[in-house]
Amino acid sequence: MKPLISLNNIKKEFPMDGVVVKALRGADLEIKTGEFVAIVGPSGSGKSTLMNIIGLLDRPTKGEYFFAGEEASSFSDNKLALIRNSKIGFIFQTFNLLPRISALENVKMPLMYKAKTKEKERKNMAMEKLKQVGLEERVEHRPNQLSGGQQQRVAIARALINNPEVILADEPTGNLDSKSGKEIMEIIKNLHREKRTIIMVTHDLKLAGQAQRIIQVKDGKIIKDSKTK
Amino acid sequence: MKIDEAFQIAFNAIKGSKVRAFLTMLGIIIGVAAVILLVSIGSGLQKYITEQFEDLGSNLVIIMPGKVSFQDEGAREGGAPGISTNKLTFKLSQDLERKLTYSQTVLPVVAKSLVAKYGNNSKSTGLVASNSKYPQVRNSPVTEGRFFTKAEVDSSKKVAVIGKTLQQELFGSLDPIGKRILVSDSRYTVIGVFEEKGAMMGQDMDDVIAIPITAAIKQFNAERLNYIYLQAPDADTVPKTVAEAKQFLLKEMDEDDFSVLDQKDLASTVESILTTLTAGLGGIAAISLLVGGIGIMNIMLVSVTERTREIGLRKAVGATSQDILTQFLVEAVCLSLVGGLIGIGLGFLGSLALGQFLKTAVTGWSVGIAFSVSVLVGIVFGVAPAYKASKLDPIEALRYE
Ligand SMILES: Nc1ncnc2c1ncn2[C@@H]1O[C@H](COP(=O)(O)OP(=O)(O)OP(=O)(O)O)[C@@H](O)[C@H]1O
Ligand SMILES: [Mg+2]
Repeated sequence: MKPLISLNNIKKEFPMDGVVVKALRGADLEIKTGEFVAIVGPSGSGKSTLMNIIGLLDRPTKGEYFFAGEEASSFSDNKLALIRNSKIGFIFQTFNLLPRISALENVKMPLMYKAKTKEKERKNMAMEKLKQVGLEERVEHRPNQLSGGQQQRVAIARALINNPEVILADEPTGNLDSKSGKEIMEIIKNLHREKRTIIMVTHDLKLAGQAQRIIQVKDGKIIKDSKTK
Repeated sequence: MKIDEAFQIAFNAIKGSKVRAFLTMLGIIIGVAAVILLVSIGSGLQKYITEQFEDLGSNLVIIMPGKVSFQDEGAREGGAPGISTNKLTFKLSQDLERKLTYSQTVLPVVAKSLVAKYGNNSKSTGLVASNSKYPQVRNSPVTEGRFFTKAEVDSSKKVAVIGKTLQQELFGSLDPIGKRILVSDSRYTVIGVFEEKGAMMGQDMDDVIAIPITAAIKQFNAERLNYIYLQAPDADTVPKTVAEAKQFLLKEMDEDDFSVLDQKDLASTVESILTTLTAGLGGIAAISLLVGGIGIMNIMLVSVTERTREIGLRKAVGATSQDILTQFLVEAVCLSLVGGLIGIGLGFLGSLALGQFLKTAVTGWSVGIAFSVSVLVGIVFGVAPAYKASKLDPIEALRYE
């Protein structure tokens, strides 16, 4: 079976005041549909840069990236936006909820950029996802009326709203206490059981151990790629 | 993204920060209100003047003492009645009547203000002394009684026709016909009442008393006339009448001693001055709209910067550059649109309030222009911030602190 994600000698450089920061120095990686992959490595090693490229938020400086078999450098900006909207769900370390609107509105938000869905249906979809993360009691709360763990659950519901194949989580528990972190981890593992592909960056080796596969990044290169048992 | 959703987001954003939105809209509100108000004053004035000229009677030519020029600086020199430079006399008007071939109707007028009394009631009022053709020429029919006849004018009969206001002040519910009233220091018999004309720009058109000009000349020793009206039989003979009158008067006096104005000239000159004035007022007000637009642009630029992370997030979950552009453009348009609507409301109220003191007319075109200009302002000044937002790189926007 063709891999869902395939990186071929990916390089990413950031020009900064004359010097060039090499965030990725030739990364090769294949991830199949349904896999649960953890990415670990020291701070500044290029994990987030790698995630952004996989998530089609950023384009590599060099190298080929195949998403579902298609080479991504040929994608127009609008096609990238469409894929991000329908096939990829992002979970951020800092939640990134819109502060002025309710949990429900936050979860519904990506539907706005999708071809017509009726308002009633949208609400039902959002309610269903909020229920899935155990927040059906908090739908009308605004982000600042929710705990960190609850906010992250809203963010997960938002990532799930379009039933994406891939969930990209960049340190999803990084801003949470260990109890909330565990709850979030349970939700993510459930998503994996639903046959979704999960790619998760984490500092926590215990959490990484719960994935099927651990990829170690250092100085912009993948130095180790191992299966957990 | 659908446009109605963009509007909904925009309205929510405005609702979320009402004070700020209001301050942002203030320029537009003031600009639009000013446009509506100033144009309503200008066109009210225009309408009033036009009505006045229509009210004057048709196919009129007016002879005034001294030089009257609306073209130059609207100044009127010389020739107030009674002053020696005024060379218009009653005798002159009679000569004129004999000489004119086209116009058979010559109406000499002496006007002054004085006090009229009946019993214990007295009222200061406006006197017009003229001949028997006054009701026809000045469009002032008599409803009760009658106007004075040519014979009464020739014999300087002391009869008077009064306006409704004067009638009510002096007689209340009594029948005025046949009653004798004191006009200044002389007694006159009331023989008729004018049809009601109403008030115009604070001036009561029914507060008037008309007497034969011959009687007035005797009583007040008033040789000098305020005006002479000539009425041409139809519109085509108006210019000929003007020429004839000028020719006649030039034999009697200097060019600077009189003015012959035909009613249409007068009306169109005044009207063109007012049109310029109205447009000028509107133009000045439009500048404040421009300033309002810059205010919106300013706040939208701030808003884009403040919401950089929001923009990044929206892009991360699938918004295209076009979506972001639409959202911010619609928000700017909403601000200017709501501001414009408030401005229209305020301008309308202001014009109503001012209408108590002077004639105002809110014109459709000024509302239309104000409305479309405010939408346009929103688009024009919203484009730059919206474009800036749409071009943000999602990653950089998400990293923005
Ligand atoms: N937009 C950028 N401009 C310049 N340099 C950048 C940019 N993004 C990342 N970098 C640099 O690229 C390198 C990799 O950054 P990245 O964020 O991928 O690290 P990371 O592994 O996610 O670190 P952390 O664990 O702290 O999140 C760093 O040296 C960083 O300074
Ligand atoms: Mg990182």
